[in-house]
Amino acid sequence: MEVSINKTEDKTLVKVNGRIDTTTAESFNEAIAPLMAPEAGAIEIDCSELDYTSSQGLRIFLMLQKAVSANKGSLVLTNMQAPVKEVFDITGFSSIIKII
Amino acid sequence: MNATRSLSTKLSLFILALTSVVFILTIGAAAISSHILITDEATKSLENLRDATIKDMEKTLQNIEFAVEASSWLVNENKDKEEYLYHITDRIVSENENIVGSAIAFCPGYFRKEHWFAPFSYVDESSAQVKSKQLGSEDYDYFDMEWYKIPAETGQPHWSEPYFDEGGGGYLMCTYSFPVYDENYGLYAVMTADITLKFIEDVLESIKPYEHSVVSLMTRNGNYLKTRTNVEKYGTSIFATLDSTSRAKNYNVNAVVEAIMSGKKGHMQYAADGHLCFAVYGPLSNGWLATIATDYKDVHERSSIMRNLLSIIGIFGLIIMFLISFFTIRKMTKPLTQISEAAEGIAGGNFNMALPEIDTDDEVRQLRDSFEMMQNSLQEYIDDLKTTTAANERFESELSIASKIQMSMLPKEFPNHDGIDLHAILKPAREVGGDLYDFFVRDNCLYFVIGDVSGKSVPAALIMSIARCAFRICSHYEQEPKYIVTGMNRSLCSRNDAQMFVTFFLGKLDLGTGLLKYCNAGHNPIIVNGRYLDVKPNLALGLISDFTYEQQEVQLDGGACITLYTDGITEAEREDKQQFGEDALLKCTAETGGLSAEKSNELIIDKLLAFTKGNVQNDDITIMTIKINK
Repeated sequence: MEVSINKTEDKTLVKVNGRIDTTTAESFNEAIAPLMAPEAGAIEIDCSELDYTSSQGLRIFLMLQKAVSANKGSLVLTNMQAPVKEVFDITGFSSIIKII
Repeated sequence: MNATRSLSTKLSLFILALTSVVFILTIGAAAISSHILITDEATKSLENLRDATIKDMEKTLQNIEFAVEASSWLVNENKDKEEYLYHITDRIVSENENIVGSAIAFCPGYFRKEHWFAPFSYVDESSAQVKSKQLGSEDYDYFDMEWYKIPAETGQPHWSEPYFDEGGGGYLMCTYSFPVYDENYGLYAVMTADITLKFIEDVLESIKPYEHSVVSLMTRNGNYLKTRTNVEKYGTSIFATLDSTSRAKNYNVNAVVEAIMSGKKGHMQYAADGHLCFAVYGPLSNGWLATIATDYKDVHERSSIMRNLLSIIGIFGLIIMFLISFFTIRKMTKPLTQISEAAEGIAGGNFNMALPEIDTDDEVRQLRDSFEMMQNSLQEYIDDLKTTTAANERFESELSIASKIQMSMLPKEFPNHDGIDLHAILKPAREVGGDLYDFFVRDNCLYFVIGDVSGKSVPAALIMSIARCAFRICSHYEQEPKYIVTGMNRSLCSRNDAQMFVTFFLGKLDLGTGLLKYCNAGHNPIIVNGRYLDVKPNLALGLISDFTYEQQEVQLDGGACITLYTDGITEAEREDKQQFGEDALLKCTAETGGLSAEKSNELIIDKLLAFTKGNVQNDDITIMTIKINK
């Protein structure tokens, strides 16, 4: 699991590679912790290389979403692979996190 | 103990061996050099002795020669006075103690036309008086005798070979002959002086450089003038001696005889009768040959004494050195033995073994200190380990109790109802887990749920028990699934700081009509008759408290099969990260027709385990099967 964060003028571009599961969830949490700060602004997470997420991963996405909402920023997940998208759909996370 | 003993023995023996080699080499070198030195010195001293002997002997012989020569002019003056001639010989004998006889042997017909005339004085053995007589006669024809013949022919003074003169003094003797000439340079007489070999023997006998030394004098023809032993009689020749020695044990004997006979000074080694000998030799002025023969054994007795003394001292030194090094090394390595014993004790679990006190500041001390440090570290480590182990054991026993508590929350008794066959299996990944299932029958309706808390183990287990209680409480007051779920969601949302959430499915089956009402909260859709049921996801519980959950319903017929599961089944992984998947699960459920709910669950779990092939179970697994009887 790898996370790269690029700040541009108007938004923060994040790319997540690999799997978020029991062993990598904590490091994923640490990697995206800066995005929960008030100055993060608009965040776009490219999920094209995200192969799998467990419920721990969902929980971290949820926490990020809550932080972003509290900071009046925005969060959008893009290019999600079908199996991952399915997890978001089944759990109803698609209704609280914007996925395009 | 044995190891240390053998170490000190080994080291001591090693030092001993090394020192012995050095010692033997030193002794060898000392022996060789002292041998050479002693041989050289012996050679020099024997040569000096030879020279002194030769000089001494020459002086004695010259005195004799001089006594004769000095009297020759008296003969010349008084050659016709018979009485005076006797007086001359008498004086020569009485005034020279070494001369035992003296004669003036006239040439034939010279003195008063006598054929033989030789006035002769000699020491009479019985009376020890000097007596005189006329020597020449038909019985004693001296003209053919060596002492007369050779000087007469050569005109030179001459020392004769040793001979036993029966007509003379009765002694084994040697004669010095001196030719006397008249004014016309005509030879008219030969004057002689006789010496006994006894006299020469006495002189040579007094010379004794070594115990077995033989000092001998020979004429130029090799006849002994003196010999020390009685075996070799007076007058025997060196060549006879040569023949009598055992040739097998000889070495250089011919060469040494040849060298002596050459009449030159020198020295040479030879072996006779197995004895290594050493000869120094040289000529006298009259051509006689002096030889000092010495047995090497005598010469090297002194060097062998020195060598033996050195060897004894060395052997004692080696023994003392071995003992000292053995005990010193043993003393030095004794702490090692104690440390080794301490190590054995520690290996056996006793960390309080006493270590030896060491006064010296060396490697053994360092070893001891390091060992003490290790001992202390081990003690601390073991103490830590005991504490940790105790804590772990406590934790494990607590977890085990927690597991029992959690499992006891799940219904074990499956409903014994005519209309349905229900069975569920829950396998947590750890001791406790976040999956749950529950069911009960009320008012001829079967309420059944399945849920999955995000995460695993203890945190998930805590939420799971909350969720299970929330279900039981909410279902007590509400009949419609959506209200029960909404109530549970509100309950779980309050004080959920950890952002844990629960996916949850609730079904309510009217056992009379077969109508299934259901509400999903973000859980995997359920399978009905081998197909996924159309299920709205809504949202997992615990996220948004005012979320509106929608309820659905479907009419089921007798013989319908409902399968509920958690994602621990579909996301179970093989070693290559390949997941079991929904298709495989659908295929399994299709194969369960005709089987009881319990057998169906077992079949699915068996297929799943066959797929993962013993790979570690990552997530809690739950499966529930409900079969509606016809």
